[in-house]
Amino acid sequence: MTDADAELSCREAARLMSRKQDAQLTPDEEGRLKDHLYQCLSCRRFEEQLGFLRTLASRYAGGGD
Amino acid sequence: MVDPANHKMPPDPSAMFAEVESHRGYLLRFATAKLRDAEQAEEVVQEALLAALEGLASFSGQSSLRTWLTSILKFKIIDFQRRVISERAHFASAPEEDDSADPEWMDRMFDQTGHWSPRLAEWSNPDGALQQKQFFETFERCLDKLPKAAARVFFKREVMGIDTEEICKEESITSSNCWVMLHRARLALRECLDRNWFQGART
Repeated sequence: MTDADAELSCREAARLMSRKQDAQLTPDEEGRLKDHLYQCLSCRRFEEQLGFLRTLASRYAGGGD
Repeated sequence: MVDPANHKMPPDPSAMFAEVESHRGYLLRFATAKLRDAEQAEEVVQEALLAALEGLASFSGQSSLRTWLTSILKFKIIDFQRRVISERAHFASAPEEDDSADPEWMDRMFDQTGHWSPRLAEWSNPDGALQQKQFFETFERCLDKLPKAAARVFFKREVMGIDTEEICKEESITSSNCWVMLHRARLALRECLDRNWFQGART
């Protein structure tokens, strides 16, 4: 692996967080994402907001009740 | 919207009609996601709303009105698809989007080193937003701004709760293509909600 140790950019981290909502990440991806989130406030916010988008969409399906 | 604490339908017919009618926009989006065709979607939604109004007495109030209307719509969509398949041969449609490169708007969300630009701000009181009708209207406007295929895939995944494998089959796309579309849809929706709702709440 050439860049297994390379740090993730936010752009890549965002892609992984999105994919994680639909599929399982590899242990390597999980580890790198965790390292990135630890040091990146914007990405922690993105993670929260992704979760909120999911809640919002399911509320929307229920008519907002 | 139906108040869960008081789910009885309003007694007078025009109020009932208005109540059912207020879900039309949602139902249209649902049908468009399934059928890919705005005109066909209008047609099935019309059928579903008529059926709903005729059968209003059977609405028990156990689920929300929207959930009940959606279940009627699902039957109408299946009916419609059967009719269409028997009426004419089914042609697979061409892919609508090229996913070989990220679109230019995505480049503007990140700087050259791949960091968020600008940094993401916290969303204040998101739970409060979920209580507001205007927030859902903002969400609908944001959904409508997405490219059609991305909107459809997002709607199927997050609103209908279909898993990605099933969506790939329905859309005839690969799973990586599906993830790319979902990711772009989420990025765009996040940005749209931030700009049109949460930013205003910050100032």
